[in-house]
Amino acid sequence: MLLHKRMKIFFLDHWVKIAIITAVVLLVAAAIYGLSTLESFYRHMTLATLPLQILIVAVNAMIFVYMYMTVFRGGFAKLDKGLVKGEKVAVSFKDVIGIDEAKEECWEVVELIKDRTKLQKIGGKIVRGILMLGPPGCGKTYLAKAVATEAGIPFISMSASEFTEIFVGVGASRMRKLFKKARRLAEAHGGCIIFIDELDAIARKRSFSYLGGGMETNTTQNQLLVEMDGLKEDQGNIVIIGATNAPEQELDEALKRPGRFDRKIYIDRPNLEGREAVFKFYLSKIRYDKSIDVSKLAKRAVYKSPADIMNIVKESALIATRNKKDTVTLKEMSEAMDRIDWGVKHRKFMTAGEKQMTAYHEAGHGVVVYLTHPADDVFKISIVSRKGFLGAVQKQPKEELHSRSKQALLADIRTSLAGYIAEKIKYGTTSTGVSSDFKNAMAIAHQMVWAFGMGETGLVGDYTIYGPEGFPVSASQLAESTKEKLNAETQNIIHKCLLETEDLLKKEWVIVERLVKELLEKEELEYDEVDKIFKEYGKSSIKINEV
Amino acid sequence: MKFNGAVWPLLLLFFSIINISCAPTYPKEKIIEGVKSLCEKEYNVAVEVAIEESTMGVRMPIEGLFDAETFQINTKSFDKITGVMLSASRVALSSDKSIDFYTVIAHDKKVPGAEVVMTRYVHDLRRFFLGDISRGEFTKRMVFDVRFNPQGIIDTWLGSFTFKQYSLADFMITQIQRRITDEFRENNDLVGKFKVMSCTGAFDNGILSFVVDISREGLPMSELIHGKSWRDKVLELCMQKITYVAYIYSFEEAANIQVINKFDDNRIKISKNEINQWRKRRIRID
Repeated sequence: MLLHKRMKIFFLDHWVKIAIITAVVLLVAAAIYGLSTLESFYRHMTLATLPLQILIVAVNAMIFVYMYMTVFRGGFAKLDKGLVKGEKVAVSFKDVIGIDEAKEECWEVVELIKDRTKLQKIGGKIVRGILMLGPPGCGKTYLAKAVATEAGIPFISMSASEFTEIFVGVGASRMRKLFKKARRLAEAHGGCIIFIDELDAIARKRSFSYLGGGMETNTTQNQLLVEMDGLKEDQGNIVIIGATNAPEQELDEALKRPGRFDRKIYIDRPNLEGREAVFKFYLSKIRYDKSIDVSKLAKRAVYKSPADIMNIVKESALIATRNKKDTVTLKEMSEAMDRIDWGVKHRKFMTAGEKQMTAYHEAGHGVVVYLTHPADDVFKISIVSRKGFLGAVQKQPKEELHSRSKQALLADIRTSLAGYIAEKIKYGTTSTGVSSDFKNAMAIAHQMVWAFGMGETGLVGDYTIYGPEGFPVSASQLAESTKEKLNAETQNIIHKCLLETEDLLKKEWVIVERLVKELLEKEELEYDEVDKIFKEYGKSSIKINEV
Repeated sequence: MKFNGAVWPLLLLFFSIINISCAPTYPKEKIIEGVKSLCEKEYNVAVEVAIEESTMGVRMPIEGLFDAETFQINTKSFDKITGVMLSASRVALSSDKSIDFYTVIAHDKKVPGAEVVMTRYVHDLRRFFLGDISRGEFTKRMVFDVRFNPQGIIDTWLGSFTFKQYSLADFMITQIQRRITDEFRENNDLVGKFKVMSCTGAFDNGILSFVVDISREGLPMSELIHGKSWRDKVLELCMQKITYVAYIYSFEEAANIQVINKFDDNRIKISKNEINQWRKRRIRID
């Protein structure tokens, strides 16, 4: 019965191809018969000119297809995506690494699809839609492919932008066709997965304009809603997986209600363990120095997505090739990370004095971060110019933190001011290199007092709600005296941090001098080198749980 | 290497086509029969066919070959001759026997010595069908003659059939004679001023040699044609025709080509190398 159904559906789906093949076979048979009735010279002549004729026909066909696609189909970018069979996607759950929680949730869906008969027997209903949310490059598409592979059912992949067209109704029509195709496949194979990538292109909150703007998106979205509602139990198991980077609140409420995208899976950037696994996975594909401590790499790559990590490994392999090395070492990995985070090294000419001043500035930052910052660590100190800066300290969170304590914010301010203080102690004067540091310090101090209630004045609350017309509260309702107090407190925090930083740097000046010496020699100091210098002076980095 | 399922039917198709295209339609032993049958079936003409070396001869009797009043070839007769020429060409092209030339001799039934002879080089046919030479050039390459041939009378009486066996040199010589004669008959600069009395050619000891006897018709000795004395011009034109034909048939056997003016024994002689240089437009023949 199923075979009969499959054959019928196969014929309905491919009747154009079947007709073309039949016509071609008949024409070829007629051509062979015609050739056989010709005298041998004419046969030879016909066959001799055949390649040229085929070439001419092929060129004509190419020109025709090009013109057709350009004029009627909006260019080649609009070519229809084909169906991919689940087993041919070949991405298994084992290949998805670093996002274990999301994997577990998806595995449930796979089991539901596999055991649909059992589920239907007890009266349960299969999940209709899964919405994958999260930042880009975290493996949403990859996970969707893994679901298709594991479930072993056909998989249709579309990008939501493929539905949007200049003509109203085209997107909706494509949506209808997509679901029609999915229903047929589900009927023949027992299930089908539709994957719509970048769903936000058609799933943003619907807008209603008298001028008709957004009509096409609205119509496409309406059609998606209708189709998802119209999925009856007897029409097979169609699961729609949507993926988006857009925040959930940006999506239309109607799409998120039960019965449509009723299961949401948040795919976040991987944690330390996840990053380590991702690093191991991508490093296994290249030849690398086995002495590289992958856990340190993972630590340094905090907040990086799997796609970022893949990019780091790829970039390091390129650097190794350029440096004519057989294997990728820590040096290349580090350079690759710098290149991605800071951009390519752009060595500007600096005088010896300017270089030394930069070294003092950066060493000041480094000492303060290392000795006092509760959340961040020094991963690199550099006096090589890149983009718009002459030097930099790479400070990264020691662990994934989702909030920032008062101590951490004060440490941020101290860190920002450290460059200024170091210049002042050494030279008795300062440079313009401190401008961005001050901007940063002031912004943090301002936010601490105005928004986070971290001042000492007793004024607690978020005073940033007072703003121009349209803000929750008008700025006119904020007393000048309150403003004065808040601003004075901001300055107070800055001054306190300034004094603390100055005390610290004067106390540890010998370490600053040592770092400067090393920096002037090597230009860049890695985490291990920095750590070693501090250890020589019996200092160790503050631990996160000591705060 | 993994084959797609569609490869096997395509291979089968390919070999079927190769197979059917390999066999000749008219094998050696069926050539004569083939020409006779084609002429009979398609043009209702009974012909005699014979093959000597690489030349195929076709003799066809026609009632009223020439118009009694104009002495021109009758249109109906001409159509029949063309049909027989086509039949002979089809067989020559689709046979495994190497036939280089075919000649069709049409003679009047009542006056057997009055003949129209048409001869073609088979290689010219191939090139024409493949679009390598133009229709005009193809026509010029046919050797055409209207003659009174006493041998034809004897052949008719005896019921035998004799025809000239061509070599490439013979064919070229006949074609060159025709081209030179036509040139003096059709070139506006020369019409009325000259008359080709005779033009004979021979190929001997690697020399392709022509003796032309061209008479002046009321042209003063001092007359210039395009700045040249008429004697030089005549020789130049003849040499151009000869070298052109030698070139188009890649006639490598001739080490030298010479043309002699019978009137004053003036002559031009050029080497094979010079012909090639001339074709590459590196030198001029004048």
